[in-house]
Amino acid sequence: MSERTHAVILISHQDMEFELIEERGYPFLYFNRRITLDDALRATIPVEMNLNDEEQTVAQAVKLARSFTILGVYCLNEYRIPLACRIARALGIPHALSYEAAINCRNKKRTKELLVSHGINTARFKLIHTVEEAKAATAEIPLPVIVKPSNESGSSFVRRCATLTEIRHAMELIQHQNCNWVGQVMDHEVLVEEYLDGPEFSVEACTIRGKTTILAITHKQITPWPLTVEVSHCVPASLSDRDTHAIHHAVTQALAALDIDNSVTHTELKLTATGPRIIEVNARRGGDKISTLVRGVTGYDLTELSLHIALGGTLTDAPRHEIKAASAVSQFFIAERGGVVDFNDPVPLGTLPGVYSLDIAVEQGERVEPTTSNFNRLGQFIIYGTPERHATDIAAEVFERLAIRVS
Amino acid sequence: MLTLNPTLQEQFAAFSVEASSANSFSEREQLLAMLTASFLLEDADLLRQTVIMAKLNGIINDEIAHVSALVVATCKQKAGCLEKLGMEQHAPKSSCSQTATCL
Repeated sequence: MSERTHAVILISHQDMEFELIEERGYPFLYFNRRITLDDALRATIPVEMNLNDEEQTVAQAVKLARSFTILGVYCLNEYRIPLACRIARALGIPHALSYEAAINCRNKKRTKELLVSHGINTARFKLIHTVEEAKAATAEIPLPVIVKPSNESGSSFVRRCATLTEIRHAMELIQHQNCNWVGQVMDHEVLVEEYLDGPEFSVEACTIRGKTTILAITHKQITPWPLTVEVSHCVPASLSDRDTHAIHHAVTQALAALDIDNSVTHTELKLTATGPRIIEVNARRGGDKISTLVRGVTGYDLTELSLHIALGGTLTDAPRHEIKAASAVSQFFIAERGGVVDFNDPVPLGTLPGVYSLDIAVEQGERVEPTTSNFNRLGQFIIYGTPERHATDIAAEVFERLAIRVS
Repeated sequence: MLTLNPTLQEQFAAFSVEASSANSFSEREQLLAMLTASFLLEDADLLRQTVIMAKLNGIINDEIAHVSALVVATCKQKAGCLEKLGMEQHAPKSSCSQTATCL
């Protein structure tokens, strides 16, 4: 009997997944709800189907996998991680994140419940459906509060509310959505969280065979309230040894509470007067350009590491690249109001030492809507610090010289 | 969009079902024929869907490329004949039999 071909299952596509699988020489079964002709030609077996129908998708994956030996299920898409875990489980892949752990992260209210039950320091929260429940929640959690959906992503519909009226508006906005970004039924149970005062960080880590390793801590800057759109990231965050240690400890405990194993993770937290307090945990690499920053500063490529872990690899045998800089920053352009965009010539900035990339997603003179989430920002640039200058200094210069404005 | 009258519509639907379900060809042969049609129609979305279906049924990129090459070769051959026909129409004499063969 001939040996079956080793292959990888890829769910959804965001970044360099094709290249990374191809580099390793594996055929791949690619599942997505819409597949372009180019991607269809590139995948060994393209499978176009409604990924929200998880039963059917798992059944199709199991059927097609009969012709191969599937080494791992690879997925970077936040919304599809639980599906990838279900497929891995159905195929009996031992080195995969469990479906329960994926759901523990994907569903923010479940994350909260588990963190609280394990005594992890997190923001106080209540789940509400009605104005009465919102009112009752504010009796326990003082205003202002954060209102957010349970199963969205990308800071969509997340609002800081200072009054009961604002809470009602934010709640209604969430409850009027039938579906989230990828068409999954929106959970109408709304999270009301304590607003935490303090700088915000994200922690890129990986847990393999029960051992968690913190790879990087990123300092995040968010738009002024009431929105919560991310405007800049800096790796590594400038922290005292004491705070660094406290963050490492809090994140390791949180990942254990959520039963995370065999996964890259992206944990968001605030450093408050009472120490680090976990906001949310995602069983995937960080979004935006955090991977590029982490790769430049640590040599670990989180996209590549995710595949490596999905294929059963460990951190010891993980690929590691040249460290490019001691600091790295990504900065995003946002529209605080709707209007016409104007900015200075970006071309000379591209040659400034330390500028890794500069992408403006809008045209000069284009009319834009106000930025409301991470999905409709106007562009971004990435800086790697040079021996002479920290990345934040170069970023400030680029931002000032480009002077992107909406009027 | 143009719609056929109900009788024609029914007959057309029956024809389409019969054409795709008649088992004169294997599924693989049918998909190769559909790929050929998709290339010829230059319909990007139809081609996209057919490529997905074809690969799901074991047809590989080399085979898809070969179908594409056959379509291109056939079109080129036809273009060559049309060019020749054009030249012949401008010539003092033409040969009907040769033209008919080409087309």
